[in-house]
Amino acid sequence: MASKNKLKILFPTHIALLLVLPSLILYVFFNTWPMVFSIGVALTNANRYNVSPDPAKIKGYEEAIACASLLKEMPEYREKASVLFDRLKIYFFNLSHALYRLNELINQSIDISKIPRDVIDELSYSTSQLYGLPGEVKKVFNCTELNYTTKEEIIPVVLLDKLDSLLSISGTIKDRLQYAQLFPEEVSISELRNLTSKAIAILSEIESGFSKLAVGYDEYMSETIERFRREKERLELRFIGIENFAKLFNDARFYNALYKTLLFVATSVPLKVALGVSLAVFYSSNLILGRKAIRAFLLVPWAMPFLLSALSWRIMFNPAGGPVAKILGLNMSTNEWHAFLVYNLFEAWLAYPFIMTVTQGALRGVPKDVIEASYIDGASIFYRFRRIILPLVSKPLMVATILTTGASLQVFLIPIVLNGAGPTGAICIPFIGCTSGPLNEMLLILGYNKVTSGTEGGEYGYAAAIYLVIVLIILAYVAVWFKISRRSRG
Amino acid sequence: MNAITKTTALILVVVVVIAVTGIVLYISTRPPTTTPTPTQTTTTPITTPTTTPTKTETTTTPATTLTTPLPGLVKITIGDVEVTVPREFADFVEKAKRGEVRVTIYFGHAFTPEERVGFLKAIDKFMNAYPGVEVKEIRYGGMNELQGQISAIAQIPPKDREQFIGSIPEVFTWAHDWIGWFADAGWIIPLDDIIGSQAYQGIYPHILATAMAAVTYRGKAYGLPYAGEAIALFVNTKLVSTPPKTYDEMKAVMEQYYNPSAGTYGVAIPGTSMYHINAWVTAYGGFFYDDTRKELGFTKPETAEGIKFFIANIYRYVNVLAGVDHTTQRNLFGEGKTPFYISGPWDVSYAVKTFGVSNFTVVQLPKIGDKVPKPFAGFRNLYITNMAIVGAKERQYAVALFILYIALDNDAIITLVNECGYVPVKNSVAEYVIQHSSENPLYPVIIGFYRQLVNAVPMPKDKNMQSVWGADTPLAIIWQTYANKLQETNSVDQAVEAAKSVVDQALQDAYNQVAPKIEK
Repeated sequence: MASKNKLKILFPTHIALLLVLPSLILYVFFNTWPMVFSIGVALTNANRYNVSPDPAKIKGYEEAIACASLLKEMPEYREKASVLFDRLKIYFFNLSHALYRLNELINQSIDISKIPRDVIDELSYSTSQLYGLPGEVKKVFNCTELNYTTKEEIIPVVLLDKLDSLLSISGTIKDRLQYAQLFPEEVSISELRNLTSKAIAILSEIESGFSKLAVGYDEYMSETIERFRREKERLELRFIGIENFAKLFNDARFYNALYKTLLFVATSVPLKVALGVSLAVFYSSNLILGRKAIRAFLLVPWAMPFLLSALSWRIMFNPAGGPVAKILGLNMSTNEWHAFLVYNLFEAWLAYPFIMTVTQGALRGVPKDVIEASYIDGASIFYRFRRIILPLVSKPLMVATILTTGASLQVFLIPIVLNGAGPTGAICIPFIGCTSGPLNEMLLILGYNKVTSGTEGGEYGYAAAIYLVIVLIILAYVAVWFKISRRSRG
Repeated sequence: MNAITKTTALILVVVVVIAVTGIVLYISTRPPTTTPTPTQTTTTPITTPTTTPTKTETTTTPATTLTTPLPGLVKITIGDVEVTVPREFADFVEKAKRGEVRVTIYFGHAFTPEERVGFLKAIDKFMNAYPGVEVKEIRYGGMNELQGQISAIAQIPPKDREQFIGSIPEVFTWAHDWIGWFADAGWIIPLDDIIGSQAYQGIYPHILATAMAAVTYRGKAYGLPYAGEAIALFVNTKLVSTPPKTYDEMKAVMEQYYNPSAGTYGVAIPGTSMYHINAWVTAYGGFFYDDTRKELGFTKPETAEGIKFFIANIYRYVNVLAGVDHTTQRNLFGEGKTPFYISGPWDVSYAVKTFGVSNFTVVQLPKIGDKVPKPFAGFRNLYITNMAIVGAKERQYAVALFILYIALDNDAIITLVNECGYVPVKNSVAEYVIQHSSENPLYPVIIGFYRQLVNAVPMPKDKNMQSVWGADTPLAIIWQTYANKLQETNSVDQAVEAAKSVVDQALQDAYNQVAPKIEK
């Protein structure tokens, strides 16, 4: 009983207390922080907008919300708002005057090159005045004077967006008119007519939006507060639970990537092992003259910088005149399976030196008398390989195969460098649905694309979820490896 | 008593983990410490408008004057442009001109070596004109590195940012399409904040208005544009002496050269993304995304019609099986295997090196009957980062002055045109180039791009555009179908028909993919 208790006792409490925290910190620092961080990110909506915004910007929105809320409650500002709208009407009037004047000229089908210069100048002047509009609002709704530190103007976002649109359309009209003075035949009158009507319509929408300053003050302020609230929310990283994982398991691209990765493991591993073992066995024969030198040369793929090899392969298999692509009739740009085949060939070429070296080492350990005895017994070459050589080299070969399987499972650079994991096309998965994407997108590439791609990039939370799933797959694979190696030891 | 069991140790570990996590979570989610208490103060009285407008739609009364010059504002001249700026800024400009101040600012870029040499000459001109300001460059291999830096600096409290002066730029250049996203994150600051919005009344008439609109986000200009880009038609003048003006003329040449068995094709294009095919979509009245209405155009019949035209009348003359990518297609043109190449100003230096400047030209994409193809226009912008507001106020003034100079000084812009082949967006420089087209063999190329730029549609810059670009993936099925059919049958006609038959579905898929992500 006493000995049992003794076994349970580890160390004195105060030592334990002293050691727990530093050991945890060390453990977290050296081992688990990337994992913990990834899990954390995978549970958030991290994206390009909210990962590192300026905290002052978020604070600015908070202050703006408080400022607008106060303004909403202050009766004297209702009056000021009404006066402000009267002032803003001058901006609208000036631009609408210019646009209607132009519209009238266009409707009279006047020669565009003969549109009077002052019409263009008036349009230019009244459009440039719009840049002063936010400042005009700020003069009245001056949050700084109310002791709020924000640079935001008290304007609903929809009006600011429309203001940008108006600047863009009105600017296009101005450019077209100016250009027509030089090259009148290149400017379409119907396009000008459409642009002018569009500008008039947007201007009237803006005017009606700002008219709330006079007739719907509360609504105007509520819209502004709502804008700041939404903008602030966009910049804040939020915990979203397993939403990313739910999205992942409903993403056809994920299943395609999983399928393509596992398929690549299933095809590339036997290929590279077979190639490596065959070459090792072949060059183990004493009959081959200069085999040592040849063996040394065979290690070249191993020694060459990856990107140099990749570039050579890319050129050789380039659909536009790559010599090997031409001979084999392969087109990586248009055919997903052609590309997949090239990935396999390239991977086999890159990895066979490793398998070959391991096998060679193991072959050296095979006693010569065993081989000689098999000769004398009249065993065929295949029999000798299958029954004598292979069992003798199987253990080191197994380890090498396991290691190279890990490499295939994490395939990334080969598809990226050869053809960007393309071609792109439709991906349909039963019960999940259809989407489109690079057809040879492996799991690691899917995560990479979600982070870096210009169009869909910046989905950090989602990419972290993808990578966590990859980690789980690798863990499962490692577990199998342990089991196999334990069995082989046994 | 003074020893613990295995179970106790385990419990202890769990407790410590929970405690540490709790502390970390508490610290990270703590609300801001103080919010200032609002105090009601009197605001500046509002000036009564100079006139009360009465809207009469057909009247020809001149525009109402809105602003009377304020006492704090004065006019300065940059190049040939009069700009109204705060007096303090004007004083700084004078001091900089006389060399009475010493300010160093850092300019970030990812120029190609050739571009860099040209741009440095423009910077030298600036430093000669304003010896009080020194501009030092910070070179980047790719702009993602700069993006990482300015996003990181945003996390550091402003007072601690001073130590990074010199390693992170205050001003950098990139295409205008980063503005919305960067401004939302608070990484860049508007030029208005330094020189005031009244300055634009002087600047606006001198710069292409579409370029100004492109660098404007929510009513504020985030820098100034100094060059524009749009795809146009490169013509190998050794093969085609008269560049085509209409699609029919272009088609005749493409037919003449299209002979796959001899390895020659009608035209080369560096891609099939929405950016590359937008010209034909707009020619038919279609569009992918209208940021002025926040409306998707994938399901408009005109959009489908434009894409189908492109497939049947442009794409069929392309060496598709070689791969429709930038390097492959550009080489086909460079090797004289196609008479035409549809690309942007970034390929000018390649064409000059390959053919010599007098053996190629650039013209607008030819009209299709009365339909005008309008590609996307992009503009090179000078952005101001958060670093500009660090340290002495002169630093932000120096940044603003540098931007004004590069965008408005004729001499600087002509240097950029001559040295880098940039397409100017300042009207007077564009006119100069047109008038002096015979003086520089590069000018006809620049004019070709300029004419295309004015007949282009500005690339939308609002944040929805990131989602819209994602539609290239569902649309890729069109190009995949074309390539597969061509490989299978070796018949261009069948490939065209096969691709056309999937256009409507691909557009619908694109719409379904993008529509849920559009923020109104």
